Amino acid sequence: MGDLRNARASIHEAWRDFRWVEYRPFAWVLVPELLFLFFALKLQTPWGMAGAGLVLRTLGEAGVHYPTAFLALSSAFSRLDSVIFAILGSFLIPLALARIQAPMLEKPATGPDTVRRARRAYKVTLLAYVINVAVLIGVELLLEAGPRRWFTGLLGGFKADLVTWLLGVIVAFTVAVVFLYVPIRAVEDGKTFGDALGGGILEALKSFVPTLLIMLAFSWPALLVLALVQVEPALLVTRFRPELIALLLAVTAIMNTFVNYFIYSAASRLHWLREGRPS
Amino acid sequence: MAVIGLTLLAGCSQLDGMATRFRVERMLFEAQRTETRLRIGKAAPDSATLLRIYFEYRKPRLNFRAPYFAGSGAGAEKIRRDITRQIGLAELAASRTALQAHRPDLAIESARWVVTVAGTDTVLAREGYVAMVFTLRALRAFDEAIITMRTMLERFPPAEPRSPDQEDPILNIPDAIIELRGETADSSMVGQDRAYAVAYYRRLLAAHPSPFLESQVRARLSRTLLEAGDANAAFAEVSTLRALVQRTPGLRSLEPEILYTEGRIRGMQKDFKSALSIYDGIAKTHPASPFAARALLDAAVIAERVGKPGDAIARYRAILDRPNPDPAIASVASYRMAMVMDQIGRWEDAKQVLEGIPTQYPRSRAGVEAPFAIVEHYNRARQPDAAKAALAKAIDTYRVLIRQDTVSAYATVYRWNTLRAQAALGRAKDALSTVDQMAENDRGAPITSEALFQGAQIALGIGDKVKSDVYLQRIVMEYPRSPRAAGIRKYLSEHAGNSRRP
Repeated sequence: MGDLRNARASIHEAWRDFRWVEYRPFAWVLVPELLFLFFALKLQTPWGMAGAGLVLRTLGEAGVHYPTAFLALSSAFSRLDSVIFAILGSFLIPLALARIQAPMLEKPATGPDTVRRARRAYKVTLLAYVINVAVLIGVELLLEAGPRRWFTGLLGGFKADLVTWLLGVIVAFTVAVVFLYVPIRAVEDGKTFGDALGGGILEALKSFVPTLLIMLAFSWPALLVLALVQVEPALLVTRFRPELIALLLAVTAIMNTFVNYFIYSAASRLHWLREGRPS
Repeated sequence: MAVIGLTLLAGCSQLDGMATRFRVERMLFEAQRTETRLRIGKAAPDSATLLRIYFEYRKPRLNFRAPYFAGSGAGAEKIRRDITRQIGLAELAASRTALQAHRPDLAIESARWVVTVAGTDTVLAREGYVAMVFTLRALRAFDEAIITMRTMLERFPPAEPRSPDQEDPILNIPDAIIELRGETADSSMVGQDRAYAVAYYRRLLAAHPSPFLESQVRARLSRTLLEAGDANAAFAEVSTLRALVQRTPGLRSLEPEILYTEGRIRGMQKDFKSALSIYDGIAKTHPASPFAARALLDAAVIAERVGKPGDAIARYRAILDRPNPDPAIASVASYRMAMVMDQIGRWEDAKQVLEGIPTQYPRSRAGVEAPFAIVEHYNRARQPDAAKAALAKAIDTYRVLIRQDTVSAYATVYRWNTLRAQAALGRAKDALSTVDQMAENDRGAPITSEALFQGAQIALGIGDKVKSDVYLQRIVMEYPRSPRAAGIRKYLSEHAGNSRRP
């Protein structure tokens, strides 16, 4: 109960204490993502095809045709997002975390110290992220092989797709919770690689429910938009316009940067409260 | 660096081609969306709406011209073929829409263009030829339609089926040619078309096809030989087919078809007992096979011939009671059942069946003939008032049928029967109006020359010599190969200005 109360307090505090300088690293992640979506909206030009077509083509020939390119866009975007988060995010997330923690340590939010701490956390954050993605891919394959078929057999059509998607989201959140504290611990002074990875996972398992609560509290608005794109993309293509998928993905990407910021901000505060330090 | 990389990549011809293809696909998609939007809530859109849709589908052809983009190589050529296919598909949709808008002139241009640009893309070329055939039928250019179908047979060898259930539609073309001749009442040519079909199938067999394709070709060959009345040759083919089925486990599903063909051969050889036994066996052993319905139909016909009307009716009823009966078979079964019922004195039952046929099976010979069968009954029963009422009802029925299907070959026959009914009722003006409609809508159909001749007689009957001569002149000019043309030409030259009947 105490942890849940702390989680609620962390959520309120993270929301109240939003600082642009802390959020900014997440906005940098947004730049290549939005650029990709802009190229995807310009596939009718050679440079648009060069910018987004090559990524879309990794999903097969349908990725560079109209309107199937927009059906494939969500998956292609997820792939690109994974790579961007792995390469850039492994530095930018710790940087944002170092800036979030700076006031608690009574240090300036920007400056060489925060960069140093972020650089130190790069390797372990990257490893945690790679493991996270690998687990997710494995779980996704299992979902396709088992539950999706059962749901299709039991519920059929849209209901089955929705339930499968919801299950996928719950699993993704569960996996994400497990690795959430790795970068938070990694930016702290005196934490070794093992402390960050093992300790982070252990901490997540101990405070699993409050952390999941933090995630759900901030994620649900973005999930609503994402559900539209991922559950029934064909509906958007046929009833509205295929290009709408790119626009909704852009909205989701922008929302996600804020969601990620608030989650890490609230989780940092919860972590500090657990450690008995003032947040 | 990224910008430089993108710029270099953008200069690549393949990316230019992919972008061009994307634009073509988007234009086709937009046309499809427009069609959906314009058709919503309209069961039968008007010609103006249809022509708007037509022009939407024309856009890709008008906006993109070969070679579409600069560059060469295998990749670029593949993209060019893709683009041509997309534009071709848009043009085929334009052709289809123009046909619905009663503009076969526009439709045929689009279809011909597709055939011209298809090149090595056999899928597109085939679709183009199919569109041409449909349009030529609508234009009443039946001879050219048949020539086009024969070109398809020459140009596109049938694809090897992966299973006995999959059949390349190209194999159905010889039957389609025969059916078209039948629809246009040009039965004198049906024999030639059957001979052509037999030669085509034999040519395919001579190329030693795979067992699956061989079985399909032999089945069609035996059926065609049977329809041509060559029971011995048909039997030989069936025997070969049976041997093929026995040595190919994947062909076991052909058993009902082989049995059916054997039954038909027995029937042709007047061995009715054996034929009935085989047919009943198919219906019992293979009830789900499409040949079960055919077997029941043929068995019912034999029952009629051997004087067992009760058995015949029971079999016809069994066909109609099957789930999702084949309209081609069910229409014949309904009609024949009504005829048998009439013969055994169950006229009210027969009448009820006959009245339902045109609505249940509008695109069938039975649907065309059923209203007149009711008239014929009353004529035989010497009930002139009832016959007149039936004729009036027949006119109404044909009017509804024409409204439902204005372009098919059946519409021509509906109009012809309407003319017959109007003439029998003495409605000269209505009859002449129908003749005028046929002269315009059914130009080229052999039956239209007969309608013009009937119209000439009706016009003369009401003292309109000018109209009568116009009809006769149209026969001479538009139907020079009509059997009546020579006599009419002679009559017109000898009796110009007189008012004698031709």
